[in-house]
Amino acid sequence: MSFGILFAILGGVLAAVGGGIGSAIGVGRVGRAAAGVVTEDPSKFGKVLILEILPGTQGLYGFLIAFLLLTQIGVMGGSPIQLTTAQGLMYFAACLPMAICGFISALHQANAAVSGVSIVAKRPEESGKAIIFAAMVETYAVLALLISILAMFNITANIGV
Amino acid sequence: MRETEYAYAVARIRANELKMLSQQDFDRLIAAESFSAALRILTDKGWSEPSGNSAYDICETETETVWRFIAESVPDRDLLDAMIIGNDFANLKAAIKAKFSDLKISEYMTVPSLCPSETIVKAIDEGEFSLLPEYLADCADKAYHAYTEKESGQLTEIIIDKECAAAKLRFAEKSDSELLREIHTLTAAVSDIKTARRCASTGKSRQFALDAVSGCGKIDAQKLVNAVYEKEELAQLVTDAGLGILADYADGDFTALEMFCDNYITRRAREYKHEIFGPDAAVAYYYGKLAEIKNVRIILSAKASGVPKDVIQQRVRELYV
Repeated sequence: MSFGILFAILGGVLAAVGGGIGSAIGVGRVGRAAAGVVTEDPSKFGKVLILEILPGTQGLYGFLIAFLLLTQIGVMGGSPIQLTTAQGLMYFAACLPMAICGFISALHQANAAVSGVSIVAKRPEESGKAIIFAAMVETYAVLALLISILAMFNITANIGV
Repeated sequence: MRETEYAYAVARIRANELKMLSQQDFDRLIAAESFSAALRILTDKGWSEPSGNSAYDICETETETVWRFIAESVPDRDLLDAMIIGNDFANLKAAIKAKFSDLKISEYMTVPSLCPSETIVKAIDEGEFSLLPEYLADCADKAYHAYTEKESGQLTEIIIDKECAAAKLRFAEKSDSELLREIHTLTAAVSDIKTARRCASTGKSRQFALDAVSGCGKIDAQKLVNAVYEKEELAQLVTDAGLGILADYADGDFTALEMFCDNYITRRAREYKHEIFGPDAAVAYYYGKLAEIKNVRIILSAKASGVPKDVIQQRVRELYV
């Protein structure tokens, strides 16, 4: 087995781990704040739950990238394709936007969501705005996801596997 | 401790800020026809029913309530200790005074405190200062002997106040709260100014004043005492010490100085109202709530003694909300 497949798998692992760790920290952070609000007013559970879920999407995106990559390089089917080191590094690079942006955007989205929890605590009628503020950060995670997917599919098309 | 560890506490605080008394509530309190009418307004807003007919009861209960809330929300023990360390010294002062007078000690004990008030009373009654925690034991020993051997209540107070200022800053340094350090530094400076001026006006020696001033509040003790005794203006001295905010009040009357100090702390606390993490949000809320309780106490005491509304209006402090 060449180093190519190793680099490709490493890229997928990074995408899954980066997004996953970011989301785990983010959801945990918002969860603490949400628990604080629910301690005082349990009726706000539904509103703060939406905010808590938001930083969790990066983990899903990372998982998606890792899954697509494993499918593209045949690992999921049980017959991995032969990749040169350069091809493996291309797959690795394709996963980086999701790995890096997923991790960082999850943390920042969590901070925006915690601020949103404070809005819900004081002005529950404005919870829609709180969700929009936090959701704006999602844009950049989605862009990174798209770039990673486009890069991966184009690499597969170009190397002809 | 990581600032994000405070997410739970800060969220609870934001939810609780809704329950604080607003400006309209205070306007109603000030306009209330009588003490009992003011009490009714407070109980309608969720304050506890007083067991006796005094402002002290209801304010004391509210202080205990806010402390219980802070203590169960804030994850950092050091921060909690630093917020209430001053009360231990107030209790020590009360315990020494009570031992040599007819004072009913329970009425003078401040809550919350780090060291149980019963322990302080027992240590003073038995002269067994080793029962007290390290930060209190030496001070209690000195203050007790100043009272018994030199029969000087003033010296006793000075010893305790000085050690209290130092301990508050020491504990604040251990916490991660910049706001708490600022508050303790400011209150120590204000206390030093008042002490030095009081010593001068009561004819105490310069050395006595120098011993009495803590020097913890950024203002150099020697320079402060010299300035006061040589009747120089303190405005420049406090400005040079980085406390220019006190320049307009350092030479004025004590009431205005204390009021400015209280209002400044509340204003600084308000700046942390939008923080989502960190210890400062908790400190800000605690001091905001203490300002609210102080205002209620001022209003209720004034109502009980029939003070006119316009005078009450002048005495109340700025609000956190």
